[in-house]
Amino acid sequence: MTHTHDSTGQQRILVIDDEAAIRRFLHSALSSEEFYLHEAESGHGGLSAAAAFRPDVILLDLGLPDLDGIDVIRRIREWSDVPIIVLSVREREDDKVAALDAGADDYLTKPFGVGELLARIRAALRRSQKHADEPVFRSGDLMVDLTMRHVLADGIEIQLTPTEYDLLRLFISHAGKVITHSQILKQIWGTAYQEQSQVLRVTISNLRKKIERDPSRPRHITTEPGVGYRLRIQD
Amino acid sequence: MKASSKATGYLFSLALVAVATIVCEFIRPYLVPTNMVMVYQLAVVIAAVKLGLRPAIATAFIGVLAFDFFFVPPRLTFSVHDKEYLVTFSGFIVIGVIISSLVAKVRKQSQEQARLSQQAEQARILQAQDNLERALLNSISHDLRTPLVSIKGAISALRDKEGDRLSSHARHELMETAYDEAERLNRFVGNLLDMSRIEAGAIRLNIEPCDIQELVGCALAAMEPRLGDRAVLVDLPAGLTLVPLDMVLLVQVLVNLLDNANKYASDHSPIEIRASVDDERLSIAVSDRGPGVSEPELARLFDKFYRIAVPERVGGTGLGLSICKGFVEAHGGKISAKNRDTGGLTIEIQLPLAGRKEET
Repeated sequence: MTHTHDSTGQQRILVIDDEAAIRRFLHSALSSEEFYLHEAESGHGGLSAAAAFRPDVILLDLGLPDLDGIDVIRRIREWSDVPIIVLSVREREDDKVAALDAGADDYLTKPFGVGELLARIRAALRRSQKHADEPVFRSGDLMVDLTMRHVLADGIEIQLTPTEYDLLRLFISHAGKVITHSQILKQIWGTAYQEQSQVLRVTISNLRKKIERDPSRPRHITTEPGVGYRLRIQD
Repeated sequence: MKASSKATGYLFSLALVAVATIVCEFIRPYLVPTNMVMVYQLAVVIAAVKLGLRPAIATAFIGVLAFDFFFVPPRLTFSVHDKEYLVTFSGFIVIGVIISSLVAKVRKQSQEQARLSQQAEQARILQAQDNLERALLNSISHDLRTPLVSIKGAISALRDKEGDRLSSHARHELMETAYDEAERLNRFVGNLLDMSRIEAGAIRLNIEPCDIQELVGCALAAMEPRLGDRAVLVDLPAGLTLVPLDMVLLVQVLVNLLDNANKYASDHSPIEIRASVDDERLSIAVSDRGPGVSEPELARLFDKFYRIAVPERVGGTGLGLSICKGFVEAHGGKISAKNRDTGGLTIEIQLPLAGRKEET
């Protein structure tokens, strides 16, 4: 996706949801000088709008009447990298994982607050529109110098194993976004380790011990039960 | 089916008469024929008790014929020399019929009684289901409507023209109320969905190695907005302990236990979470320093829609702990509650690990 935003400086958001009340709420909550909204009420409508409207980010409801939301993601991913944020209900963890593995960037559990939604939209836009990797990542008391491979937590330099560092770097390249267990395993350990989830648990636990103040209440790497992990971006 | 059982009844009558005849043949050297009638009468009584009215009467008539044929002189004919035997025959028949009808009446009464007690049992079960359904309806109408009342009230106050005269503080309060109550409504709907999944037996476990610290961390993160400034003391096994369980369900269990403890704990007192693992099981206990629960109520704590008598501020759906029970039992585990010696309640869950624990 090369197109970013139009001449007015507004970011273009495509909402694909069959519920009129939710479209109306999103329209009022998001339309502003910052965002311009286009709405589609079906999967097919959403697919053609994605091509015609050229959005900067897509908000997609998984429960569409005409097409499976996962199929919508796959078909958009055939030709576009536009960030897709899935809106899903709570008890369908499997759907969330399937959506993320199919190429969705993030998900929000319905019902959600506007503050949370705006944060996700902005994080997704930041990731898709950044031109080059920032050499230094900062979030709360965590600072990572990616060129020097230096990690500082609370101002103190931390020694990480190569695997822990690779994992942290993966999180930083997807900062603010949830990554599923299988995505992490594939990226860090390779496809042979797809089922080795305890390897992942052990590494996450070790990494948290080094960078979190209280590993039982992590502030940086948070767990999304049944889905994956997220590196939170803090001011 | 019915016709064949009837036929079997009459066949048994024949068999009874045959047995009586054989018995009489054995005692023939010692008794005059008139007394043999007693043996046939016994066969009629047995038929009445076991087979019913009609086979019993049939037994009486066949019995008379057999008695006449085999034992009344001249033997092996139906003719009778001594006409007094005709009195014996009619006496036998009359007594046989009377006994048969009396026994049949008793039989019918006892059958009816059995049916009545069966009906009473069914009525009792229906009543219990009815009570549960009523509890469900009460709970739904109360727990769905109460937040809706606040939400609609707050939003209408803000929406109406009159809303302009509200102070900014009042507007803020109304919005906070609407937001908190919407959260509560959302939790209640979630609870109803969980409960219906348990009731439908639709719990599919997704067992994966889970870090206990991570499990507790997720529950605490989810509870954070509700805990406010209440302290939670966490006591977990040292080092990383991975246990195989369904993390999503277990986080929900811990959230419900923490929520319960948070509701009943006295002001500013901490909640405690203690977890331990051995070769056989994972135990997690959540304790509060609230008023505890009376002994008779302890056993009912995990019943659906059961709420112990509490001050009005402690709103709950009465579903949280029964959902915990359902999720824990889906893991083959147990949940139990006991009062602490120092005051307050401890709820403990135990999950069998069956040697599947992995430590690092």
